[in-house]
Amino acid sequence: MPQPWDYIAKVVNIGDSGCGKSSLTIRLCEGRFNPTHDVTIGVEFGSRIIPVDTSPTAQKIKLQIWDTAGQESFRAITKSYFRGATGALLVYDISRRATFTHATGWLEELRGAADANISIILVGNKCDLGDDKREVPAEEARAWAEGNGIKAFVETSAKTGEGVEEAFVDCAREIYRNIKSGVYDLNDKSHGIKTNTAKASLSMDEQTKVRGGCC
Amino acid sequence: MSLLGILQAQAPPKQDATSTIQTLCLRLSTSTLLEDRRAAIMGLRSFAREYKETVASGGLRGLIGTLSKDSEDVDTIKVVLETLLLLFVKDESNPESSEDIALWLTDEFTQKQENITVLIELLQDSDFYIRLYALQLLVAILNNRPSRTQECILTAPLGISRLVSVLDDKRDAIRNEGILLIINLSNGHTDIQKLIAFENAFERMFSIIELEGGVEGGIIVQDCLQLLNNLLSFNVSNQSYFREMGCVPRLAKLFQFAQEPVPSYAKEQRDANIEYAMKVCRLFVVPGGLGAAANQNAFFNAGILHLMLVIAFSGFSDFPVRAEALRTVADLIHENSPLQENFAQMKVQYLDPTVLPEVQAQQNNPDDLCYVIEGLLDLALLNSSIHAFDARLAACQCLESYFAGNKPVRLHFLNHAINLHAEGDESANVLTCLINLDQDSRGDPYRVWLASVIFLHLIYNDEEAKNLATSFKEGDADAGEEVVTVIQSISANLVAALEHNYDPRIIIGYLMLLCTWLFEDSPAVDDFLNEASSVQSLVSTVKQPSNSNLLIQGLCAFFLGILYEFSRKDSPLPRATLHPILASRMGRDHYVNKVTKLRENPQVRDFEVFRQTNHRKRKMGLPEVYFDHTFIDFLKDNYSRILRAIDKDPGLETHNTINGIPHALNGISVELVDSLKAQLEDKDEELQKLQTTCLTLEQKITQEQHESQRAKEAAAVEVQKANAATETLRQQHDAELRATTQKTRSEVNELEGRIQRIRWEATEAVRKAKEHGDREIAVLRRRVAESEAVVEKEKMERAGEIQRTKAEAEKAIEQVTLRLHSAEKEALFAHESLRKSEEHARESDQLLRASEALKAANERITSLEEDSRRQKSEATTLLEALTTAQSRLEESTKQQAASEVWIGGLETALAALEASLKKEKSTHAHILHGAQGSAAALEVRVNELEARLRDAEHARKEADEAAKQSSAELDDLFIILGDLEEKRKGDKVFFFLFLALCEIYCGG
Repeated sequence: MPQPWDYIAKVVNIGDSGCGKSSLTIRLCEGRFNPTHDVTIGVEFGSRIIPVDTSPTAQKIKLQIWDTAGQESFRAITKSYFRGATGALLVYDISRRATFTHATGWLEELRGAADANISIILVGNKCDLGDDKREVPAEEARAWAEGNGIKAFVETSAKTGEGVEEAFVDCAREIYRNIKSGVYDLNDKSHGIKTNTAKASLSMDEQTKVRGGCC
Repeated sequence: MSLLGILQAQAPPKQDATSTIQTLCLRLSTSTLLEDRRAAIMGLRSFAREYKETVASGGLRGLIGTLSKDSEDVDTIKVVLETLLLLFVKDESNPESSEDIALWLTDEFTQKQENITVLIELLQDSDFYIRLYALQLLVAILNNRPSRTQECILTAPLGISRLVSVLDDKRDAIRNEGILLIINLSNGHTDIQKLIAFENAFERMFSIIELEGGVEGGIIVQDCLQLLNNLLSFNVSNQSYFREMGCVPRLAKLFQFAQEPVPSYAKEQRDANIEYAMKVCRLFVVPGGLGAAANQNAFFNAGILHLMLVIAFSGFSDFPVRAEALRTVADLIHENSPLQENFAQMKVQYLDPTVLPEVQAQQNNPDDLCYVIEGLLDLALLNSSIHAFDARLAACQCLESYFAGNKPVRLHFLNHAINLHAEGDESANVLTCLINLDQDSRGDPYRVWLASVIFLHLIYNDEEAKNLATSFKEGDADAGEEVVTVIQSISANLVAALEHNYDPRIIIGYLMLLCTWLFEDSPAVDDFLNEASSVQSLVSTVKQPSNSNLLIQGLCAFFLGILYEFSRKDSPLPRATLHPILASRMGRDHYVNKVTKLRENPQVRDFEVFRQTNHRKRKMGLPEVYFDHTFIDFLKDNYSRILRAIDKDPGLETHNTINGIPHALNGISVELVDSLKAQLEDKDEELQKLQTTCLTLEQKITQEQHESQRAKEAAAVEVQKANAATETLRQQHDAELRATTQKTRSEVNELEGRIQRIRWEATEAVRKAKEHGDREIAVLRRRVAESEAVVEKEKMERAGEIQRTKAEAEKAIEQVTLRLHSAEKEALFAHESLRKSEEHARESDQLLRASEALKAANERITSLEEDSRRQKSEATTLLEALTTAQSRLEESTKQQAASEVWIGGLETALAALEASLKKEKSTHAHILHGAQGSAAALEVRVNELEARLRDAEHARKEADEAAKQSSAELDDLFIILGDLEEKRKGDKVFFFLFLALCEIYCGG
């Protein structure tokens, strides 16, 4: 049975407890929202295949999403999932400034454990809440992201679904760009990137074709 | 395939795998019918191999939930466990599989205690597959998150107990899986190790080992031994429990196998088992360990030491086994002097070291015995096989343990080696191997190396052994041979080895020995420096431009540092000469560079790490073993000191040991030492002189002693004489004293008599005076009473007379009034003519009568006046009598005063006597002690006398008081007399009043 994807990429969701990491994952993988989600114990896991562009022949990346627990007590466990992650959603809650200030710590921890070329997206969740509840302005978050070498920033709402797809698509595209630019050694299993061997030869052919066209 | 068929029938035809799995997962979590759930689970199982990630992400919770929900249904549980196991299996060819999935599964179990508990409870199920799969799952989980899983199993009720009871399962697959699980579980967790041990794990392990055929059994025996290893490793509590449970003999039993050829297919496993069992033994006797000594004794008593030696010296044992056996022996006797001595007495089979092991096996003859030490030396020094290296090193280690902490053993061994060498004995000898660097030795560089290492352990930090080794000399001077010491022989060999580029191990061996030997041993340094060319050779080695052998260059430099550090001003090559050779010719920086490079060399720096891993790695050529661990410790300890040695001024010496006496470590100025030496010599001379004078003086003293002896005897005679004289003197003095005391006593008696007499006289006088006074007072009182009575009588009389006269007068007055009345009546009758005659008559009458009464009264008054005059005279006579009494009293008081004066005189006499006594006392006191006693008695006497005197004074006071009393009585008498006179005066007043009355009456 041929697999419906070209690459598998490992993505971790990190951020303080109660920011909506699990809700984002559920929204993406199952398309639903549960207003009374239990606190995550250890790690949850989900996956979703995302096309890297809108064309029908677009390459597809399967995102293996590791949704980690934000609580401090699980830090030892969650940390072991950072290894080999190619992408990460660094999530904070726009209505709680503390979750945004803690993002620095999460970023440090992630960079310490994960691959150097990891694609990180800063995600400000719960943007459905009114401006009266907002504690972190979007501009400030965007500036912080740029200042810390984070390529993209997006505000989402797991409740309404706003921006969720965009966040993950951004992440997938970023990873795809990295794959294409040869940042990852695809033979090295320590990366969270795996190629569909059945299709890889094809894609390689395509690549060479494209290159050939260029030359 | 049929299952897939069913699934495909169930699912819509166009569904892909992902959505099928999602459907199955949904069914698993929502179906109420067991059959539906089972079908879903079976479907998931078929996808689990291919689509791990999808099955896991969707179905894991449901699958785990089923374990507790449907625990009654064995078939379902079996499928669930199978599916879970499939998810754990890592499949390299499947891109969806990742380590993260297994980790995630593990976390799903370990983060929820109840999930682990469910798995452990499944072990209760007797179904073969359920038990097996549950165990395999636990092993997989344990491998992924060891410490977390250990905590979970520890927390689960009866967790450990249930796991260990699996070992009793008769089905090998389950039992073996259980052993593997417990091996993993016990790893590094002391509490779990203890709990497992208390579940009777030792007993169970030995039962399984015996069931499997002891060390000849298969891999499972190795697993059991591995488990024992885990339970006992650095766990003192379990070790003592093992010992107390009597497991040591059971361990010993493992080594009691027949020494016979083993088929090659079984040999590898058997040897592995033996080595594992020996490793278990060694866990108990880690050198320096807490219970090491107790364990050593217990193991020895169980015969393990002997069994080890049998294995180590059996022709059927391969070198790796022999090596491990010897290492075990080394640990068993380390620093245990009774065992070390027992060990030396043991005998082992003699193995010809020069033949191949195969031949040894053929020649195996258990009755051909030799002492164990000989066997060890044969193996270490003479067996040149490359394969034997580990065993040779282990034999060396055995000898090291044999010497460790046992000075007599070291000295005995060294003496024995020296004697055998001197006799030219052919047997393996450390000293011979060191001194004779022949062709054989060059072919087998480890011979010299091992000999050096053994010798190093013999003399390391042992002054006595060093001195013994240093003092040994070879060569017969009488026969024209050169006499050489061991150090000289070795240095000659070293120089030859350096010049001819012998194997570095030979050079390093010699240098290790020399470094430790010459360290802190200046006489040995001097011995070495006798041959200046040796130093030249060392310097030129260090100066070689190539970096071909940094170890040798570094060691040579280090050794030169030691030579300089412990050289002296008086050394054959003095410090002052040595210093420029090192600092200029070799170069100070060059020296520092080489020594530092040596220290940084991985062979030195990482020696401790290498040591553990080095032995088994090499296959070809000589092993890369260059250093001994003791030398490495020595090098690392003293590295910085020797590195800095070259900067020390040649004028400063380091005095460490001279004839085994340790001195201060710091440098001491040579001049100071010289001056002190000179002083010492001077003092020695002086001392010599003084000693001779002393001798003569002593002789004199003995002479004088003789003389004094004689003098003493004469003196003794004189003393006797003197004693006699003193005795007579004393007697004389005693007599004198007695006489004087008697005299004084009589005087005292006399005095007492006198005092008594005087007192008697005084009392008599007082009594007389009193009596006289009393008598007179009585007379006076009588007289006073008489006069009072007279006065009373007179008073009465006078009162009677006065009343009578009064009555008469009243009667006369009445008569007069009566007459008056009659006259008045007559007058009334005789009118006025008669009145004049009658008045005349009456007046003449009245006057007549009044004159008559007055006459009588006057007469009475005169008589009364006479009476009073008489009374007055009587009073005056009484007064006179009183005055006489007073005068007499005065006289008696005078007499008393006189007697007081007399007493005072006596007192002065007594004082004089006392003074004389004192004088006598003082005169006699110094002559004799006895006199003091009697003098004291005398004093007591005197005191008595004084007391008596006090009595006399008291009596005198009494007399005084009596006198006072009599005077008081006299005063009373005076008062009475006063009263009397007053009364008399009163009487006189009364008389005058009467007279006045009479006159008034008459006037009227």
